[in-house]
Amino acid sequence: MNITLKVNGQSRTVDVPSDMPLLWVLRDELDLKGTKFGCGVAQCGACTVHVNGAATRSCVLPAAAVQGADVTTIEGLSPDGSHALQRAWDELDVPQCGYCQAGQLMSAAGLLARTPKPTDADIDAAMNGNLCRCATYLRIRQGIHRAAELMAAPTPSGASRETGA
Amino acid sequence: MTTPILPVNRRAFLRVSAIAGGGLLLASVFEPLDAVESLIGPPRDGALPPADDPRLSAYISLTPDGVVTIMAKNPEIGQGVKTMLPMLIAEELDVAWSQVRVEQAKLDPANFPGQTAGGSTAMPSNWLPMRRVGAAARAMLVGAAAKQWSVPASECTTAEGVVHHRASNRSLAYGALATAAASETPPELASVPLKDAKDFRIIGQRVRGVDNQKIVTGAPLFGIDIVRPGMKYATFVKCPVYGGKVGAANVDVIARLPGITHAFVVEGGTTSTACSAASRLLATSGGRCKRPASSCR
Repeated sequence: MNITLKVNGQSRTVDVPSDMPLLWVLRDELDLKGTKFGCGVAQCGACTVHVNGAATRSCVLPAAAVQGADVTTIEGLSPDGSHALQRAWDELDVPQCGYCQAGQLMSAAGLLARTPKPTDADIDAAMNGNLCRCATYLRIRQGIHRAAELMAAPTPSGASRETGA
Repeated sequence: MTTPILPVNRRAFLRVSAIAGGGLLLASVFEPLDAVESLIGPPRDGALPPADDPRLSAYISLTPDGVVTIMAKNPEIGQGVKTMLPMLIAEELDVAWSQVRVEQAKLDPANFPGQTAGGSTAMPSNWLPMRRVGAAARAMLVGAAAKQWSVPASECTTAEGVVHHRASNRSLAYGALATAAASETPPELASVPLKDAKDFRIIGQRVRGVDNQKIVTGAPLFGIDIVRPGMKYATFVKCPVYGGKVGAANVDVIARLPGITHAFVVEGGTTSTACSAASRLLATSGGRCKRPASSCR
């Protein structure tokens, strides 16, 4: 069936089986490889994207359910990797292997949108559905606090960041 | 499967070659001793192995524009080795870390020894070999500069990708020396001088993970992100009982589903498996998320 949805601000139409999970619509039909397949049963969080602003597990969400929806993936979190979470993640070296981190970042972005100054308890509650096999949990928590700081700070021109090393 | 046994008689040596467009390509390879001697034993008027020699595996490439590309030979699985091993080379090469671009080496165990992860051995086992590769390249760059200036190499120093001759106040960036350095005789790896630890400028410093940007922006980086022309996906249902056998599998039904190219039962090992391959993952009627209706007991 034809599904029209907005992905990272762009209107896209795909012709897919109605039960194809959104994850595979993104990865295989729209070639957005940032969103990851982890467990396939909404238990690990690697596939987290935003659907109409809410962090959602894309691996169990059928295409038919996102007709007309507004979807944001890791590729659309910021135009240039400059979202406060992305900067904090790099600054603190949050990722290890990185496989789960797109999902971590999308869950964290959902949290910060609702709760700009989260406590440890807020973070644990919002993030406990996102598993990390490298166990980067402490740095994820630190990274969210750092991103909250960056977002609260007045944004000087120094918002751009050095690349490379 | 038998494990290939490496010849006992082997020694490390360096190969170097000019690369297309000018530059230096440096490799450290392990080969049987007779092959080494056939190459370096008899004097051959400075003949160099051709750049397209398939055995040549480059760790470092320097291009005239000053970009230093260092190959990370080991698999990165979150332990940071793709960042750490190139740091060892960069340290002894004596470049600024900001000049370095890191690339993942392909699986090429014939030319890159020890492309494995496990046991926390990458750093101890590569500590000297990687540093020697960097030091050898540095020695060749110094040699090329010394020749150009007609001064002893021992009077030259290096820092951050530049060779200096302080006495005459002359300097040349590595990029400008890369092509000339490719004609220098590579030093013996085992005896090439290494830095004293007190002179380390990269080792011991915190640098950010080389893949951080790709990871936080969702750029393709993992095996699952790779698509090749004509590539198919396979998925399987494994018997949930140890030692179980396939009782029946509806492979005919599965094979008729849209996009499916093959459906078959795999026997062997301790557990039998029903497999299907699809040209498009989700053409498998729900693909990874729904098991084909096979049964086993």
